[in-house]
Amino acid sequence: MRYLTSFSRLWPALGLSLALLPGCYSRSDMKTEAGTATGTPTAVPPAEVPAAVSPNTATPTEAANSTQPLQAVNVFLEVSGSMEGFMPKTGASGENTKFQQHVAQFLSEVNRTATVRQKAFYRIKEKPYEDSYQGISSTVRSGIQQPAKSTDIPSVLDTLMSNYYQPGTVSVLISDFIYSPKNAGAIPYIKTDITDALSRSGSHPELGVSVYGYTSDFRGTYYPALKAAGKKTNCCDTEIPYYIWVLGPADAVRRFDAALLEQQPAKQAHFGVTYLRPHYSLLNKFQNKGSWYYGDAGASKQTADAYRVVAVSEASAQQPVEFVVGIDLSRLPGQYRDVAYLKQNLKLQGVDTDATLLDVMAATDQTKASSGPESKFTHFAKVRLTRQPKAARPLVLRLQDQRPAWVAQWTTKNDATPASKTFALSSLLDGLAPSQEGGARQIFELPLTLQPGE
Amino acid sequence: MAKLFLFGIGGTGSRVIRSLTMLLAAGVDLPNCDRVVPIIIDPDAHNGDMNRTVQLLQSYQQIYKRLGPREEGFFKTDISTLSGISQDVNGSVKDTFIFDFGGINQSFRQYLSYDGLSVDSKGLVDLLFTQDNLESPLTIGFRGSPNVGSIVLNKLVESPEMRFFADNFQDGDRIFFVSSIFGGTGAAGFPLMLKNLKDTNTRLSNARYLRDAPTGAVTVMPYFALQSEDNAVIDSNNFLTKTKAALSYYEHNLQGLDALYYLADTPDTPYENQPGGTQQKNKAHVIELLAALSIVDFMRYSPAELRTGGPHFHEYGLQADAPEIQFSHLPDESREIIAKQLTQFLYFTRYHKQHLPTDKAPYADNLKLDYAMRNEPIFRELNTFLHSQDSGVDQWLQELAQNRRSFRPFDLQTDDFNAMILGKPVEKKWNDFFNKGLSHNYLLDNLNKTEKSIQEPDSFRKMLELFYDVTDKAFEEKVKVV
Amino acid sequence: MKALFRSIYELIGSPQPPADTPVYRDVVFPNIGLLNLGISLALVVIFYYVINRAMGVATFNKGRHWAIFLVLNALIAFGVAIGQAHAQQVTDHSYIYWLATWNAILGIFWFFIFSLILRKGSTNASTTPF
Repeated sequence: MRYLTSFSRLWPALGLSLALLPGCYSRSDMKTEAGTATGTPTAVPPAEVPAAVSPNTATPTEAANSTQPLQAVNVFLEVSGSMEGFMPKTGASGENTKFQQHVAQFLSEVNRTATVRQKAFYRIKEKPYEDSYQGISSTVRSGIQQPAKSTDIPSVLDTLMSNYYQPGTVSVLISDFIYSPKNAGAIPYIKTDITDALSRSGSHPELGVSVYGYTSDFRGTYYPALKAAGKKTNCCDTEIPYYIWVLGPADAVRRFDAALLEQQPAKQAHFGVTYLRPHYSLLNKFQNKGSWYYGDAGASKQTADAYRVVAVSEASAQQPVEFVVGIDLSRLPGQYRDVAYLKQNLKLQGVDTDATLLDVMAATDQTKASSGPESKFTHFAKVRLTRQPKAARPLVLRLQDQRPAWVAQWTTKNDATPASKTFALSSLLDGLAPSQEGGARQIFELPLTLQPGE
Repeated sequence: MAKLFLFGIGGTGSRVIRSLTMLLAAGVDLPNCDRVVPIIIDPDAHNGDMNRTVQLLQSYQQIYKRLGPREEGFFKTDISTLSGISQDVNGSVKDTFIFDFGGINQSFRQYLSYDGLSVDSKGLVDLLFTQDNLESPLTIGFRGSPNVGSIVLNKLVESPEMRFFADNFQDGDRIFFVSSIFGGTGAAGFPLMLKNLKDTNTRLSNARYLRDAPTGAVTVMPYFALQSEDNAVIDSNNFLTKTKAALSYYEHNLQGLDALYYLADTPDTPYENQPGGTQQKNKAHVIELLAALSIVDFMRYSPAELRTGGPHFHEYGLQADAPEIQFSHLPDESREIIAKQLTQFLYFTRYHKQHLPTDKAPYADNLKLDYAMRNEPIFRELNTFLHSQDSGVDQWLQELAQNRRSFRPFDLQTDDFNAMILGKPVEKKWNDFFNKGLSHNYLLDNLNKTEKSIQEPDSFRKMLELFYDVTDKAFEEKVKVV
Repeated sequence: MKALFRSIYELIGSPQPPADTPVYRDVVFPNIGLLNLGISLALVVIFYYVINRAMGVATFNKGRHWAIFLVLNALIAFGVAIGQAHAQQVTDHSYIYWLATWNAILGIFWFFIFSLILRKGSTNASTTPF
């Protein structure tokens, strides 16, 4: 038995070695280590690569209480004569216009939404008149009973800014935005008038405005901006544009947009609205080429999906390095998700590198179905470089804010002939974006770091 | 430095000394004595028994010289030639175990100068000796004729060897005679030697020491027969007659003897009748082993015990009258003396032959056995001692086993250490899978283990100590008792 | 520790494909490195101390027996490297097999080193392999 016992002494050792076999290090360990080291890894770039952090981080963090509902929404419906054509009295045939259809539904959604605590509805004549949801809804459905005189856009904006601009509160203005200056000489000052109107009650650096453009069939009298052209009755054969403007503190506007307007097939333009930096990450196994790897500390953790550092082992013209940055743009307005827009406006800026943005792609069914981290991203930016960096260098993907092309297309200088264009729209919108002197505003900045592989 | 002077007289003397050498090699303790000085007295310089005994003694001596004195172990007791005990001033004593008769290559007639004798003397000689006695050459001994031997051997006392012996005899030294009673040389030599050494008027030095020295003798009575041949010189049918005659002489003429051992057995297989020369090479017999044991027994008595109530007479009886003697047939006392030692020695011998040359093990590596066994003379000497075809331990055990009556305590054919002791196989418990008893593995493991604990720079000494320790442990752990 | 194993394992070149470099450096290398050391040590201990001492087996101490353990160690090291690589879900690449081979060679090396260091404490194999 002595030998048997001496043999049985082996079992603990054997068990220990079996337990050790899977290995001491695991990716989850790494994750814990890295997690405690760098705090919230999703929003904050790794502390180890300060060069990657853009100094221009106007981007709000996730800390914003996005789960809290907005304080209030004030919906203003213009009911001047020029709007009558959108909201004709219900005919015998029971037909209605697209406007009626759309706006009634929009109002209903606003009324029902949980995104906002308090909802108020106003009809705009010479000044806002409070109405109930039922009241305003029935106005939309059954037509304007007593059309007001044409309203003056700057004064409406002034009113909204003076009386309704509150933190956590947005104003929604539904109008055709046909702005008739007093005389032809005032036309060049439309922009200034708008800017003035917005800032008359004081400076609002937080102000954000989203403009959504729609068109609707129009049955009624058409009042062009240039009164000299004369009104057209029994208009029109073409669809006439109308707009929903959302004004308020940039953050509130963004959230309101996301909750209620994002889904709608509309032309859109945004002014002063800020967005959270989208979630993004390098992808090391998606269309990657050449010798590079994640240079992030703790890069081996499996589920981080927030890689920022490209470590290039070697790169040459013959063997270029290509890497893809996955970006989740799902929380940005559709304007910025458009691949054509991105291709044009997503810029790569680096120091001491020949890295170029090769392509921007939207997610495909294939990437969405993938089991890899690429499934989490809506867009992909592919970068190529042929020179190994000498040391850690910042590399930034930056999306420029660009006035969308539809604004120009929907703008006319002469609206005497009814068309799907609006008089001086560009100028109006120019007035919303007064502070762009310093170049194009940027929607987001995605800092990355290039470094030589060790 | 108490010594034992061991006179081995005649062929029997040689054979008993051979057995004693084996026992000493096996590590049997010889108390009251630091050194054994065997002196073989045999005028037949070519006697086969003597030659291989001398060969064995020389091997033993070589090995002992390397090993030195120890508390216990194989080859524990020093064996030395007469000249080896002291520096011989004259150089007349040769460094040999054999008493030098100075080459008597003449006939007894010439030795007596018969032709120059007076008529009266011739008549006396003719009366005492046959014509055959007178004509036989002395080079082959006395051929069973004590009457011839007594004349020749009486002269021994005047030899330089005897003087040297007496000069170096010290207080506390002992004397022991081994002889056969029925032969020529032994029967005549033993009483003569005794008489001369104890003679009060002797001219030898240290006479008082010699006289007071504890003295013992073993007398081997007939235990073998010779094949009867018509014209043979020695007729074993005369053995009993001669024995009777000698005993009656011993009865009154052994003065100064403290202990006398009688050994006898009923003859069984007749030996080939070789009166002497190289052909007289008889198989080792248990009686010789027992005679050697009588020397051990003698040494176990203190001088005081020997002197009181002496002389002491001893006879030997087996536990059972078995034709093949195993350890169990020996009386307890004998078994205690030799069983363990012989077993250990057998294990060593067998391991040495069977495994040592092929063992690739740490102990062998550390002892550099591979090289040593091939190149170092002392290792070859040991090999000779153990495995020599002629005089080795293997051969000796083989002979003991083959003789009648046979001493067969071991199975010499088997390779299995567990089965080596006949009648006492090593117990292996059926439920102990790992315990294979005295397996090669067991011995190897213990050799490796023990080798580490022995601090001994000399690899030969270390090897002997190692094997003694390991076989000791093997015996104690696995055999326990026989 | 990681740097040490990295330098050892990158003697055969950088991990392939490059994208898996961090996983290899942070997880696979230290894991197989430590396991390799541990397994080599364990096998050496088993050979020298368990078999050739505690169990008293004296006939399993030849160079060829040692070689059996050496090869066993190499095979385990090979398997461990592959197993670890797969456990970390790295991209399949012939590099894994090169790494495993290198790990096996390192295993042999460690086994050899440990043998030299520890063999003296063994009873029956203190002179194995030489």
